[in-house]
Amino acid sequence: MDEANATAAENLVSVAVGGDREALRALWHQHRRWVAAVLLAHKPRQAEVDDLLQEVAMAMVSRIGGLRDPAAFKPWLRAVAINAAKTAARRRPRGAAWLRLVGRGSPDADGPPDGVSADVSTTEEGTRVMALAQKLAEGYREPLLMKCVRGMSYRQIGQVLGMPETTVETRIARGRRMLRELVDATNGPRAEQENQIDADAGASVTARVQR
Amino acid sequence: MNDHEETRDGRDILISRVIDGEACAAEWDELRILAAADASLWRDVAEAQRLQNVMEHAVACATAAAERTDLPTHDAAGVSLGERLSARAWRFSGWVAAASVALAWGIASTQTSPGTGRGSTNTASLLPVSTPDEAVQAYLDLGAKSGRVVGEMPQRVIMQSRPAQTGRGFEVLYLRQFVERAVVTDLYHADGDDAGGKVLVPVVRPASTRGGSL
Repeated sequence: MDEANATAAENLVSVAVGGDREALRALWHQHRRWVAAVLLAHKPRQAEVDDLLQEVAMAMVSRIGGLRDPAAFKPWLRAVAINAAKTAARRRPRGAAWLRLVGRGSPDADGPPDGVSADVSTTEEGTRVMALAQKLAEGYREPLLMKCVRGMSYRQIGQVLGMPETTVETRIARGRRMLRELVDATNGPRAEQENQIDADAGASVTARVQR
Repeated sequence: MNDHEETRDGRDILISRVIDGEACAAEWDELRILAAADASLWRDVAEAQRLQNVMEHAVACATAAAERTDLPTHDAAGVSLGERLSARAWRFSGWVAAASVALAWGIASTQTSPGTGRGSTNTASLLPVSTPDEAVQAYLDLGAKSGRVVGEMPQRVIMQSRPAQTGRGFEVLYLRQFVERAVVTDLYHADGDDAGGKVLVPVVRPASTRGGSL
């Protein structure tokens, strides 16, 4: 079944490489969510995922004709996304200047202006945890963020990163531990108090995650 | 890798597999046995689960843009280029909208600093302009010199694309965006009236403000 899926996926890539618009569109729809996660892992803080996605989409359309091995599509698309993020990082000072141009706050303010999306700022906690995740080494951050894309398995992440499934699993596990340590470190004394979780609490966690 | 690191990796992987719903019965047994000896394991599982939930939510929000991003592959049936231009321009003017100000200015606003507008054409004609790129560069240079042109937005917005007739590559229509500065006599922001209609409301200049950064 997996082999059949892989063959179908490669066929779709081959058709897209041949310039078929519908195949290109289908391919983009299949992969754009993890592409967004890759961008999130590599983009400079002020760059918008929306804008970078547009660039990746354009690059995919214009360059896919040069892809020789359909099986290499996912790593290729990841490389395109990383390039877009790195290019955005190089022009970051310029972008920041534009934001200052229209912003209402201090020109030296760290965050984006009011009303400009900070990408992940849906909740304070989400923002804080994502900021800490950005401190992880790239090799841990990227698979960790990809694992947060709903439905993304270790195997699929491995296909994108060009890594064995077991390596992906280890990196995610380590990344999660490092993130916990970072969170603990920022929580300080409060974290110590929260360590007093007893076996009853553990049992309720078991019930929640074992479903 | 030493024993300590291996043990730590084993513990991390166990926690990871549990919160991903990948742990098998034997792994659950192992978790219970380890937790009986070290209750902090439950805390780590709980915290890992909590962080995963927080991150999944944050990533979902951040990557929701992916659902709205389509490929610039072909003309959308029944939609004119002008309409799409307008839609795209609206989207990319989001940073302006972010400042919650829709600006409109009077025709008299063309009175900018000396050397701008018509007065510049003579100077421009002295520049060696023989290609569109050179013309744009001349515009940027002269505009920067006069203070009218602030710069160009870094991104170019793809409006339309199709396979090139040459049989190789794509032909694209794209939008370039330049930021200009002007001194205006009247400034308005768009507002809504009680009936839900749009009205232009004059912006009142603070009496004590002599100027400031944009």
